[in-house]
Amino acid sequence: MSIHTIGVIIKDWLIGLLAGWGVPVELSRLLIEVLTWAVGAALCIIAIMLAALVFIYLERKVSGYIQSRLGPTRCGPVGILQSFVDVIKLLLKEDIVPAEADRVLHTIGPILFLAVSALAYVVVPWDEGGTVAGKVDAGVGVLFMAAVGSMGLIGIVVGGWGSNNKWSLLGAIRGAAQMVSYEIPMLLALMCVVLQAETLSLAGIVEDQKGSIIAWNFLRPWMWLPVVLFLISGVAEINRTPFDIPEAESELVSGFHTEYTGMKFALFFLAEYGNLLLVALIFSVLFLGGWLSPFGYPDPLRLPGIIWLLAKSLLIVLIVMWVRWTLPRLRVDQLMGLAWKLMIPAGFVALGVMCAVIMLGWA
Amino acid sequence: MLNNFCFWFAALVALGASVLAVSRRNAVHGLLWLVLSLLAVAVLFFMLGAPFAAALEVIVYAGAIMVLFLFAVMMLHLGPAAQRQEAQWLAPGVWIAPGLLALGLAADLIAIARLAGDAPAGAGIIPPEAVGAALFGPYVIGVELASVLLLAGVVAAYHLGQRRDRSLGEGAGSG
Amino acid sequence: MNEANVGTTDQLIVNMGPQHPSTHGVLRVALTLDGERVVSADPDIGYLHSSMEKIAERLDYRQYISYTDRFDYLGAMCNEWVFVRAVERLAGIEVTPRCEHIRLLMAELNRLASHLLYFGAMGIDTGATTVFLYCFRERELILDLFEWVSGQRLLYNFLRVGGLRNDLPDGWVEQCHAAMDALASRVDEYDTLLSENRIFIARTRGIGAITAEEALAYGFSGPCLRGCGVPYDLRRVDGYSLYPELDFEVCVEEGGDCLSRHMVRSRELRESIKIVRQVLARLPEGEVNVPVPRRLKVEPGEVYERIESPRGELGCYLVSDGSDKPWRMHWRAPSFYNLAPLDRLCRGHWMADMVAVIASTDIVLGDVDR
Repeated sequence: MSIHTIGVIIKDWLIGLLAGWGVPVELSRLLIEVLTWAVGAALCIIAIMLAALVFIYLERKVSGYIQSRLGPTRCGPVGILQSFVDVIKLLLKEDIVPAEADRVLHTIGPILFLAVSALAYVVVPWDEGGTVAGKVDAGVGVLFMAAVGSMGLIGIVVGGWGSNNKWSLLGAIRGAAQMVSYEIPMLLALMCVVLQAETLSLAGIVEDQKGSIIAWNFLRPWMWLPVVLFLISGVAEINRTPFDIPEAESELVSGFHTEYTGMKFALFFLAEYGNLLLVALIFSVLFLGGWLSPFGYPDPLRLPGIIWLLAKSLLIVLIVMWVRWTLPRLRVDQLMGLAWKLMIPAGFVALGVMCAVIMLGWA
Repeated sequence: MLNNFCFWFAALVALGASVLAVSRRNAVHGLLWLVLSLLAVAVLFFMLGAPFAAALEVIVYAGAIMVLFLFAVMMLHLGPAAQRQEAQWLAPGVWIAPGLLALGLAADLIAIARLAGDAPAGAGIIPPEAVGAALFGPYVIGVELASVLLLAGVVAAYHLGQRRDRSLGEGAGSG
Repeated sequence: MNEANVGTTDQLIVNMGPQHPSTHGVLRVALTLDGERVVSADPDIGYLHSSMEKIAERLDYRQYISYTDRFDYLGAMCNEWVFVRAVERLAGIEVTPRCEHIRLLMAELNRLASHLLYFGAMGIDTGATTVFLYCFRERELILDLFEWVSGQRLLYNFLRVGGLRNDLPDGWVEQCHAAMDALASRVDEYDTLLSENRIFIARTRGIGAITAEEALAYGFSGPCLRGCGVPYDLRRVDGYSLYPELDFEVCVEEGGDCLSRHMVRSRELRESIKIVRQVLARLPEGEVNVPVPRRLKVEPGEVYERIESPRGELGCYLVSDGSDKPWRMHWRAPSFYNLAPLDRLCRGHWMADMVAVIASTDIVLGDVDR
C-alpha cells in the first residue's frame, strides 16, 4: 500500500466523520486541505530533524572509520544515543547574542535557513503519489525547488551580517558568492533531466524512469556529465568539504555561524544536515530513479518506495561524507574559477548534448 | 475561499513589506523587507495561475539579485552615520508631496478598476510550456533583443572587473 | 578619488588571533584585507613570552635543562641537546660514545615527531582533517618511545650535562625498530593523501614564494630555507656530533613556496627514518654518563652552540662569569626568524593562503616568544 492510498483513505474517513457531525462537505474539504498541509509541513520538519540526528551520528562514525578511530562510544550501545545527548546539550546552552549584533537579524538568520531548507521538502516525491505538495510539483516542481534553494542563502547572509563579526561577515560574503555561482551548473544539470523527462515535475521525472535499473537516468551516457555536475554543485550548495569555504574552520574560525551558540547554532546545524539529505534525495530522484525499485516496476520485492528512495539517498550521503573526510578545501578564487570556468561551460555542453540526443531521437 | 484568503494575505504582505522597504533607515533591513515583498508578489503570481512567473520571480529577483544587493551593502560597512543620513532623507518635507501624488494615482487606479467592473484575475493556470511557446513564438524578437542587452551587460561587467584587477595588481605582488 | 580607486571597496582590518584555530598557538596577526586579498599582515608576538633567557641567569646549569623543553615544545630533545652541548663545551666535558648516539637518536626521533605534527597541521589548515589524525597516530608511536625512555611525552628533561638521565630500557631498541618500520610504510600514504592531492598542490604551489637571497636576508633556516633551494643543513654544514659518519641526504627543493617547504619536510621524514635505523644498528655498548661535579662551575668565557632543530638553526649563546649559573644566555630561535617575513610572504595573496603560509613555516609560538 503506497503513501498515497493511505492518505486517500484517511481523507475519506475524516470527511465521513465531519459529515457525521453535521459539518458541510465544502467546509470539511477546506479544513482537511489545511490539515493536510499542516501535517505535510510537520513531516518535512520531522524529516529534517531525523536526518540531522541520524546523519550527525553517521558522520561521526564514518569519519571515525576513515580516520582509524572509534567515533562516539559512550552514550548507549556503540554511541547510538550521542546525537540525542548533543541535542540536549545544545538546548541547555546559554543563548548568547553579541552586544553589538543586530538582535533581530541574528535571530532570524538560522530560522530562515532552516525554514527554507524544510520548504524544499514539500516537492520531494517520497513514493508513487507521495508528494506533500503534489499540485505545486505537477506544474513547476523543479523550479520550485531551485527557487527555494536559492533562498537558503539569505539565511546565511542575514545571520553572518547580523552577528557583527568580521569573520561571520566574510563567511556570509563567501557563502553568497559560492551559492549564487553553483546554482547555475546545478540548474543546467537539472535542465538536462527536465529535457529527458519532458516535465518540470519531480514526480514526473521518476515516472519517466519507470522500469528496472536499466531505465534510470544515470545509465544513459548523455546523463553522465549532468550526474557529475549535479553531484559537485550539490556538494558546493550545501557547503561541505572541499567547498566548505563559508565556514572554513581554519580560515574563518567558523564562518557565518561563529557567533552562534545553543539552539540557534543547532538550527544551522539541523538545516545543514537537512540540506545534505535534500541534495541526496533530489539526486536519487533525478538520476537513480527515486522511489523505484532497481528490479523493475512494479517492485517484485513489494517494498514501499520510500525505502528505496532513502536507501539510494543514504548511498549518496555516504559518498559525500567520504569526500569530506578525504579532500582538502579549495580556495575561494579556485572555487569560483571552478564554477565559472569549468562547470558552467560544461553545463552548457551537457545541455547541448542533451538537445542533440533529443533531436536525433535517441532519448 | 482559501485561495481568496491567500491572495489578500499575500497582497497585504506585499504592500506592507514594500512600505517598510522604503522607510527603513538600515539599508540591510530595507533590503530584507524588499525580499519579503518580492516573495509575496511571487505568491500572488502563483495564485493568479502563473507558477512559472512565480518561480522565476523567486529565483531571479529574491534569490539572486537581492542577494547581490545584500552582498554589496554588507561590504559597505554602513554604520550609525549612514543611518542618520538616511533619516535626513526621510524628512516629511521630502516624502509628503510624492506621497500625495502617489495616493492620487492609487485613487485613479481604483476608480478605473471600479468603472471596468469585475474582470477575471487569471485565465486559468498557464503552464511553463505555454510561456515557452509564447516567448519563442510571437515574441522571439523580444527575447533576442533582451539577450543582446544581457550580452552588453556581460561585456560591461567584464570590462569593469578587469580595471579593478589592474588597480589591485600594482601593490599586490604575485597575487 | 583618483581613477585607480573607482570601483574598489573599503579595506577590512581583522584580528587574526590570538584566539584563532590556525595561528599555531597564540600568534596575533593584524590583517588588512581588500575583499579577501591580503594587503598587509602584521604579526604581533609575545603572548607566550616567559623570560626564558632571564630565568637562565638565576638557575644552575643543570636546573635549566627542564626549562629548555618548554619554549619549542615540539623539539624539546633538540633544545636540551643544544643547551647541554653548549655547557659541555664551556666546561670541557667529553661524553661517552653511547651517550652521543642516544642523544642523536632522540634528536632525530624528535624531528620525526615534529614533522609529523607539521604534516597534520598543514592538512588541517588546508581543510584535510584526516591526514591530521593519521599523523597523530604515527606520532603516538614515537611519543610512546619517549615516554618509555624518559617518563614524559612532550617535555622530556632527559639529557644531562655529561650524559643522560638514564640508559635505554631493555627492549626499547626493538620497539624503536618496529616503530620505524610502521612509519616508513605510512609516510607514502600521507603523500598520496595530501602532498599529491591536486587541490592541495593548487593551494600551495606558488603561494608564499620567496627567493633564496631574500630568505637568507630574513634569516630563514631549516626546511624553510632548504625549500628555497639553499642546501643549508647544519647536520652537514657543521657536521656536529656523529652526522658526518651517517648516510643521509640534505633535502632541497627549488620553489621557495609552501609546496617546496612541505616537500622538504616530507622527504626529511624519510631521511630521519634512515638516520634512526643507522644509529640503532651501530649503537655501541658502554656507560652513558661521565662523572660531573655536583656543583658545576665553568671557566669564564662565552660559547655559541648550534644544531639543526626541526624548525631550523637552533642556537644557544652562553656567557659564563665563572660561577655555577650562566651570566647571560640567548636563544637563536628558528621560528622567530621564520615568522619574520610573514607580511612579505602573504601580501597580495588570498586570506586562505595566509593559513597555508603560516602552517608551511611551521612556527611554534613558544619558540617565537620564548
